[in-house]
Amino acid sequence: MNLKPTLIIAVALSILSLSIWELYWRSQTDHFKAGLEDDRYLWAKERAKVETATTQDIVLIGSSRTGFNFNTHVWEEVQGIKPINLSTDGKPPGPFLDDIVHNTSFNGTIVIGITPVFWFDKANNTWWKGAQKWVDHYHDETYAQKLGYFLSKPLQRHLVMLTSSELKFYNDLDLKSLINRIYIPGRIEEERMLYNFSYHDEDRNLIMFPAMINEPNFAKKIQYVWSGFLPYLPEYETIKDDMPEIFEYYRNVINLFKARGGKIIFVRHKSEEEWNKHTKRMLPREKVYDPFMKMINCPSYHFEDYEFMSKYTLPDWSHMYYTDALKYTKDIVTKMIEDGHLQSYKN
Amino acid sequence: MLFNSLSFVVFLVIVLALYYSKLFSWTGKKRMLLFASYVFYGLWNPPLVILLWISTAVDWVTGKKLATEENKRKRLYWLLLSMVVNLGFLTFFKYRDFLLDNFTTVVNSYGYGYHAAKMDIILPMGISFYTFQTMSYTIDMYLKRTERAKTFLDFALYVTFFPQLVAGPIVRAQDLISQFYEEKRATVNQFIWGLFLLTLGLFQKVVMADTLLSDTVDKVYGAGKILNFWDAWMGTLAFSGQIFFDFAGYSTCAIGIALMLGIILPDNFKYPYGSLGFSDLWKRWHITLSTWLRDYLYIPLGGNRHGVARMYAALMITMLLGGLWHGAAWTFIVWGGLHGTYLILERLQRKYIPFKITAWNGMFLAFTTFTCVNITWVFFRAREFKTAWNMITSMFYLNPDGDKVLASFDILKVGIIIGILFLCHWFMRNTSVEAVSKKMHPWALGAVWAFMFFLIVIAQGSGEQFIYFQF
Repeated sequence: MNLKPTLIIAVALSILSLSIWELYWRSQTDHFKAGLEDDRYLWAKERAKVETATTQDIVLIGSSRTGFNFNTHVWEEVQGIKPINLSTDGKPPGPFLDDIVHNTSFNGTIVIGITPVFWFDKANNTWWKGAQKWVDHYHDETYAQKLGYFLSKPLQRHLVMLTSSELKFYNDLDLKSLINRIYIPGRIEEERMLYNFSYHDEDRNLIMFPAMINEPNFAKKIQYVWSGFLPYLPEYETIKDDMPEIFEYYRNVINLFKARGGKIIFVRHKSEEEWNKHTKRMLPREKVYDPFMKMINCPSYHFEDYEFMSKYTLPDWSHMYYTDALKYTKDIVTKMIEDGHLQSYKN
Repeated sequence: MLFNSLSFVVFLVIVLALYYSKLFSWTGKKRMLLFASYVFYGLWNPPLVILLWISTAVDWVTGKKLATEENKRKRLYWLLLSMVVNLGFLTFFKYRDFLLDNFTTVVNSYGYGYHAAKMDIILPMGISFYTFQTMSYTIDMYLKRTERAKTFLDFALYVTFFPQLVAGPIVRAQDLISQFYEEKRATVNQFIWGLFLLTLGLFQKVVMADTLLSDTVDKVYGAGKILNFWDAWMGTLAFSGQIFFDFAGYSTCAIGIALMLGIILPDNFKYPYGSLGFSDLWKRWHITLSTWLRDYLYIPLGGNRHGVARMYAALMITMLLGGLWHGAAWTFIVWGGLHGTYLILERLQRKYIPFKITAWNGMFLAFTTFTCVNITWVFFRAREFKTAWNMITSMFYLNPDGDKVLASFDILKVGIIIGILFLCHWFMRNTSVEAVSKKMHPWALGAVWAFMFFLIVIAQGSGEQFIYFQF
């Protein structure tokens, strides 16, 4: 058996099929863009910066709203310091705060973006464990993984077909995500999949695709996914007994951080329509957010209290469009400096 | 380092380039392979390479002494030294918590209130594999079944050879060390075939196990509730496919990589789900482990030389310890016990109700074997007995109102994949991939190869570990 012809045919067909595949996805510019994945590896690179951060440094933690609404480049232009961006799409910030407080000596400023359903949640639930995996990855990353990531970066930067995410609810281009789009009715209800509506830069700033404002139906598809689970968020009465434990947990962590000279600023980003309605139903501000802020005694900015925070329309009811986010970041950093919560290091 | 990672691709290219360059003599190439093997292992957790060094050094000295020592008592002491060191590491790293938990439970049942501190010990990757491999050398030396390795370099490379270091095949000294004595080069055809096997192995792992089956398994076994008949069966069938593709995929990769270096490794899987009974299954599933257990456990325990009762006892002990080898938990021991029971029942059937296997009843027998194997997989996959019991009762239709967690497409997907897998194993049981490939037109084989490669690339394996690394 002479295998040379077989190898040549296999190589030729592989190159041909992968080229066609890549070209096809390159044409789908509304949803996909080549770039580094916002995965645990990229997050770990950012997390490593905390080890050498000084009292002047800012660390951003929070969920996707923090990723979309804050832009670290604008932040740097206004304050003179580029924040370390540890915000994570689809993950609660609790484990990241816990990690910084317990595993580093950082005593600068942490700005925490609050998405109430993520923040006021019990430690060690499913979402928390998902975030904890990233923390564990940072601490346990092997040399083989570091090398693999280093090698994968040029490929990720140039190939759209490598668009993928650890979050299973996106319509990514890895084979598993493609297969998961198939649904045959009959047994259980279909899991609504999010269309990719953003990309990000290598500083982990999330940027909404222009189609989200240019094509009304695109934003509606995202809203449709939100409305698939938001009505099922629990009533406040059913979870209120969890609150003392959650409050106590955060109080201990935050006090520990403050005791070593660290400062924390909370930001409650805007949400609209179904997101706002069901968040208020589950976690009414006057019963949860306000008492929490009173207890921990940290500066906080709630979108309902400031016009500059609430004036933008959110295409998907939850996140800001890119150009709005630039203005929003500028306004809020300026306000924090004016209020004396941040110091300007701009020359 | 994982085979399904970009770092391994680069590592392999560098190793192959150095291996086939004219920079080194054969001894130099072996040194390079040894160094590469330590890099391969050390990139995961460098300090744990020390364990490999200790095992290598102890067993090299033991082998050297056993080659010259004639005093029986001293020979036994040298063997015991090797076994204590190797099994000591294995016990400490793999079974310490399990033994301590059981000790605590027993002691506390007498009211002592003892609390043992958890040590959170890392399980060194592949420790069960290289421990068994290196022990086979000293045992064979003790029994004078193999020659002493000619040089320390040959022996160290035998213990550490990177293609099969962390998940087998478990190779005997006489089969591998002797291949290191003379320069090895793969022929062009061997090299290309090795590359094909590497692709096939990665396809099994990345596409079949991780992409197509793992989610279904996780959904069912992580549901935490009592499930419907179909969900329980489909989750278990998916696991039977996942573990086969995962483990056979690793072995296929290992065999392919070694072949690219001109080294022949033994087959580890021969279409096990087409087995006609359980004796046949263990000649087809993880062959190098089952032959190890046969030669170093079952036969020393008496095998079939001391009557029926002793044979059954030896069989059961072997399978129970085989279960424990896979994992430090009672569920694995039950898994081994079930296989031991199946083997005993099969021998009783052969003795008291013999029948001739024909083409017609053969497939039924294979299907029955496969079904029974699936029952055992429940204990292998479930982390707790409660989960296992819930699954078993659902599979026997005792929970008709159980919850549904799988979509219709999941059921269809698993049904088709496992159906094809079973038929493939049945029709391939007396042949091999190589034999079938030889009959194929280069265009057809090239297209199949390209298709597998295409799916591997678009699957974008996230570097999921092979299941057997934890053993």
